[in-house]
Amino acid sequence: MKGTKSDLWERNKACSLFLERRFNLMQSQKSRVLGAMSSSLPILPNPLKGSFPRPCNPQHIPMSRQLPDDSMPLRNDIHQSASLHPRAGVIGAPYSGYSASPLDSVSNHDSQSMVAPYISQSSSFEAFQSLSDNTPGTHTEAAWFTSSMDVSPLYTDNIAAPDDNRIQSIRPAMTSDGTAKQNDWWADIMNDDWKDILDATATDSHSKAMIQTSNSATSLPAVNQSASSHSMEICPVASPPNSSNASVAKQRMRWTPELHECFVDAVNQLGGSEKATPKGVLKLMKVDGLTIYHVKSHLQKYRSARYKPDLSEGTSEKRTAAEELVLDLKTSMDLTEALRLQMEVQKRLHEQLEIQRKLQLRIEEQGKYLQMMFEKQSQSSTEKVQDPSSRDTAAKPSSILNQSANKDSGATMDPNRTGDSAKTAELGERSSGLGVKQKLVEIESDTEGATDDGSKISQEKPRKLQDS
Amino acid sequence: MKFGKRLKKQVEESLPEWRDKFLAYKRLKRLVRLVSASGSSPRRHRGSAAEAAFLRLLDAEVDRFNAFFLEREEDFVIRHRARSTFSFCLHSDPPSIRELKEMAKKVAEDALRRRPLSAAETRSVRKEIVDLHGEMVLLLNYSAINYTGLAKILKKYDKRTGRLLRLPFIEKVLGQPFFATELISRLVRECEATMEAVFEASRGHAGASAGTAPVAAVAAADQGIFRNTVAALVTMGELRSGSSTYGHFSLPPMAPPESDLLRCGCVQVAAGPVSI
Repeated sequence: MKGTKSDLWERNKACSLFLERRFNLMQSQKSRVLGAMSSSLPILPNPLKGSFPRPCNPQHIPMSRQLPDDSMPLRNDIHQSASLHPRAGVIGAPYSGYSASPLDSVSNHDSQSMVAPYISQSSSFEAFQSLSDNTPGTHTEAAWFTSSMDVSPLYTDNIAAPDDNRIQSIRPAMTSDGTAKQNDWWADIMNDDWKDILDATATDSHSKAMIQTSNSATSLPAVNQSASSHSMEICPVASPPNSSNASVAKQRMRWTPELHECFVDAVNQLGGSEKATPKGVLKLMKVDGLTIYHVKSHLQKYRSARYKPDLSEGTSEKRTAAEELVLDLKTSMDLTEALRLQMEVQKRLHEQLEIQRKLQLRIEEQGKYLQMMFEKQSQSSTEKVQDPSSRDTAAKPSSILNQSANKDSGATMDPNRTGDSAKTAELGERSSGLGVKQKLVEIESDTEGATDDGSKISQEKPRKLQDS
Repeated sequence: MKFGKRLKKQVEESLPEWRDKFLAYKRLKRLVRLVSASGSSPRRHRGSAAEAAFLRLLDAEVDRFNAFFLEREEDFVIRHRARSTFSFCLHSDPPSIRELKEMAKKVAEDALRRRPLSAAETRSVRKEIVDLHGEMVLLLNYSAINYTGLAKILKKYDKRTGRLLRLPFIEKVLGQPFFATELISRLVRECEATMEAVFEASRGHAGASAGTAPVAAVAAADQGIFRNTVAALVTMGELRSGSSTYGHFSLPPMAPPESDLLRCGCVQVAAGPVSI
């Protein structure tokens, strides 16, 4: 054990120096950096490459992935920079891009491969987390919120003093370009050596930490800066960073069907779920960023899942033929009916959930749009803009709201708006929905002496639009 | 207050191991009250502690949701695939090449079991599929309830403190794994398709289904999932039936549920754990 620890320590030191050099290299052009890195990284020999047909192609991220429109600019940049990445095997990107994929490109096999490359950035994150003398809780919340541009100024006051330096260092460093660069940089650093080091020190919860979210993206700049200044303080990596549970818990491994398929193939090649070992499966799968802990826990689940269907078959075999006959006729009919009923109810719930989800997403979208309009509005109103133009800008969001509302749920949205505008809400830093509504009412009353009745607004707006 | 009560009801009706995985709505609400109660100007000193605690709790909750959701999702992926492979064996759906290879291996493994299934086995297989389907839908419901809870508590927070936490935070939530339920939805649909196949194929030897009152047939194991599903539907209907604070962010009322369907379900639920 001690031997391994000192080995790890040696490798740690090597890696930390390596990191320092890399960090300096970052000043140069992105592509050059990437080029330099991929050439100088120790390429691990892959003995299995020739012998086994590759069960899956996890190495390439589809670069043309459509991101949802409302993804933050930070993420967009990360994806763009990923396209330059020569290895393209490992990339940092938040979940929203990935989760949207199965629907977008269902039949495209390659596209599903992107599930694989979850960087073990969190592994490095864990490592550097131990550097921080702050409680992970505060650090977490700092990381969580610094990525939200508007909100962070409000919270720097609340965060404990020791964090302040870090926060300050995060925000200036957090240009989306820079972060993307650093993501690539970290991605390159992640090779098997790191995984081994961190596996040895990681606890169970850490083993789950894989996915790059925008949080770790924002906390990495801070980590980098601290790394460059305190290269020797990477030594705590050797001691298990048990304090980093909370923060690392953000990054998780997501087992998609495709990844699972890959897993099953590997298991079958090794002779079945009993004979397969986690290490063997890991090597066979050849998925970047997958650790042995993931495979181990997944294998365990897989085994128990396979036993259950077998067991149910086994127990039912025990019934005699006579018993079966008697029971079957009666109970199978009943049970079928019961099952059918259950299925109906479940299907209905599913339906409703889908509808609800779509609505919620749309509502959020519109909320953002309204917020934008509201801000534009408050800017322009201070300059005493003329009535027609303000009326137009005010008319637009509510008309959009009307249209989509009518599309979705008939007139049910209108009563909502009536109720809302009847309430007086202060303008200013209120939740955007209410604020904009009030603003709209005000504008209406300014221009046309209309009442505060929301229903009037909803009726007038379409009419106005038709007129104008 | 209403949402809190409904959430509690939903939690009570849910599967045992899920009970503590829902949003800690009450605790969050208490924190919001603390924040706003500490007054406007001395907010720094006392309120800031509550605010920090609130933020921390929000983060922790999101983490918890993610962890639980992903773990369940992984489980479903495994079971779904195992189930689909098995059903292919039963009902000769045209499998893909890969599946064929899989099946061939499975045939070799389970040589003993390669015989027509008895009715009992068919029953249990069907039950398993339905249960799997049910659990997946409940997971979707879990995600939806927690999202709603988060949205509500954020709205309260914004209202009380006048800050703008809601919009950026909810945006981040939208990107979280526990909210990205497309995969589970897809599995659910696939499950439904498998179910169709299973029911179609075995409709022949089920005999004339006499539409008898299936009360007795609802076994104990079903009770949990079925109850939970019905409860979820009912709760959703209530949540969306009316609100004192309509806004741009309120959902429209749900279409009235088919009364006979739910009535039947409610009767069963009310009948309680009969056969346990």
